[in-house]
Amino acid sequence: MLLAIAKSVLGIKSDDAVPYTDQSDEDLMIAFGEGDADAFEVLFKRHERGIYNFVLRSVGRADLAEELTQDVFMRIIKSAPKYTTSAKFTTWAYTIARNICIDRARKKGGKHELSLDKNVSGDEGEGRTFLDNVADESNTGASSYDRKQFRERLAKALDDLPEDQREVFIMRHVTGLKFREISEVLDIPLPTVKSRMRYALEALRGHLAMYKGQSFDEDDREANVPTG
Amino acid sequence: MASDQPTEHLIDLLYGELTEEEESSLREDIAQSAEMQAELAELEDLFQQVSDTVEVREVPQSLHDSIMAAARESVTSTVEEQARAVRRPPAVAAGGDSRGFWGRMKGGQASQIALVAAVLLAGAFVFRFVSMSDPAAPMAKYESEAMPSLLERKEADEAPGVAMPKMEPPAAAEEEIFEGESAARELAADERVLEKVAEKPAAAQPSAKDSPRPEVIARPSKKSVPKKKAKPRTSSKSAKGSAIADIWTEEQKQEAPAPAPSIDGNAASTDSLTVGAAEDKSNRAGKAKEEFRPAEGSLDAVQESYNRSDFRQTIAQADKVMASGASATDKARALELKAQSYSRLGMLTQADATYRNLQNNYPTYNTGSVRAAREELSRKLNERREPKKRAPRQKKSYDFEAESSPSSLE
Repeated sequence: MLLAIAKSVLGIKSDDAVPYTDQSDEDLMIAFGEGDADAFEVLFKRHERGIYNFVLRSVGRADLAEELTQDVFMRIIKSAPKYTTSAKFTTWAYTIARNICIDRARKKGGKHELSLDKNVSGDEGEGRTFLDNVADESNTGASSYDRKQFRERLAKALDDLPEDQREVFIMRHVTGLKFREISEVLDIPLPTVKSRMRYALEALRGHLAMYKGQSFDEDDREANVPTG
Repeated sequence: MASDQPTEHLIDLLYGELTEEEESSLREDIAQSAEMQAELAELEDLFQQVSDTVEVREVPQSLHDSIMAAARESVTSTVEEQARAVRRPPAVAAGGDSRGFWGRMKGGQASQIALVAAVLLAGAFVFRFVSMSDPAAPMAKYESEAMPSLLERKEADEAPGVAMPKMEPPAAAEEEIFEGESAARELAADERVLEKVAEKPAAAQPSAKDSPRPEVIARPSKKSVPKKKAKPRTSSKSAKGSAIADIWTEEQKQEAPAPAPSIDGNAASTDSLTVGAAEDKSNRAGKAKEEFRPAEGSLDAVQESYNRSDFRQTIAQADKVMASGASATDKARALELKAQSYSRLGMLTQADATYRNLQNNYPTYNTGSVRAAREELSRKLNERREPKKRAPRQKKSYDFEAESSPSSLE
């Protein structure tokens, strides 16, 4: 350990070391716990987007999401020296994030909600929502209108979902966690996770039946094709 | 739930969570079922629409930088902590209290003051106990003074042609010396005299004629008198005891017209005391004795005066000691000698007052002997008073004859 610390301080890297990109989350976390800041940078880049988006969709406000995301990673940083590989890093990190979001919701007196239909700025009333974040904002015309309608319907469909189903849907579809990891984070059996996901998709499909067979990306491509 | 299984597998397929084998197997099943094909098509359509609509936002650069800065700071502190853990004891490195005993004391300053006070009190008590209550402490001074001469005396005893009276075993003699406090002090004084006397082997056996202070040794205590079976002397302490016994034996010879009994009742050994005692050597010892002049106002001077039976001088010297900055032990001893001098002078009331003064001021000094001396004094005082009380009152007779005689008129 002292050797690793000395190497870290002096910036010396052993030749036979496995590249950080090939190391598992757990190995990177242990390396960071021993004083390797570069390991944490790789680990952070792997998960920062997923955790940030999970928190963002949990609290619904960008500024608050940044604050809570910082809390999540500060907790991870402080726990690094005591980290053991008994738990998967992803599961552990998302559990922390989820608990922080729940604590925040309790402090505010409201329930823990995950929504895609809230203003990104956190302000009430008119404003840009998560569903406004489209792939190409230059779209205009009928495609843009249809997309906006679709977003509204999707947001309403998600709001109508039971919270447990919505949570599973966001974890899987937004943050990219695997069903097994979701079951670990939520501490529920894997079949239950899959069931919730299936119910969520069926509910969404019912709400969005009118858009069946329509691809916004294809519409966008057609709309952006220069004429003449 | 059995009917839900195909749909769940389709979801797994949709999100790519099946192994290659599972996927190929499922696709074969789907190819055989039109219903499953339709279901999969709907799910893929929905999945595509949602994926196209929902954007995953990038983390703000400021958030990224702040978290990475915090991580690097944490690494720095971790490295410092680990380096400190190498240098420091495990208990401190493990998060233990790094303060010392003094700083960790509960109660803060009050506890620290209490601890200091307790230590000082204990030290003072020990110092007082050692300096006042140890009867061996004053003796040690005299013993150290007397020891070299007694060693020489021992060599003289072992010389051929010199017969010495037998004494009790050394250990027993030493114990008795220390137990009898007043007697021990007298013995110590005698040893100091012997230091001068015993310059040579022959001089260690003074004749009755040259005995320096027979009156001093005239009253040896019971404990100083050897009573047990004699054994050969093998140590300097036994030589010391034998030297004292020699002087006392000679003093006995002076007082009694008949030959003094020997220590063990053997007259032959008593006779041997004078064998080889040359007169000129005794004179030299007397001269050495005369050269010994202690400083004025010291305990030695008091002792010297007392040994010379100059009791008034002893009282004066004792007063000087009391007025000086002598130690408590010396002052107590001076008071004791002063009281003994008063007693010798027949001033029993003053002696009793001096003893009382000694008891009041130095309650731990020779309590046994002082108490015994006071009892003895009070007994003597009672004896002195009782005859007056018991004597019947007689009418004063007038000697008319004497008054009328011419000689008386003259």
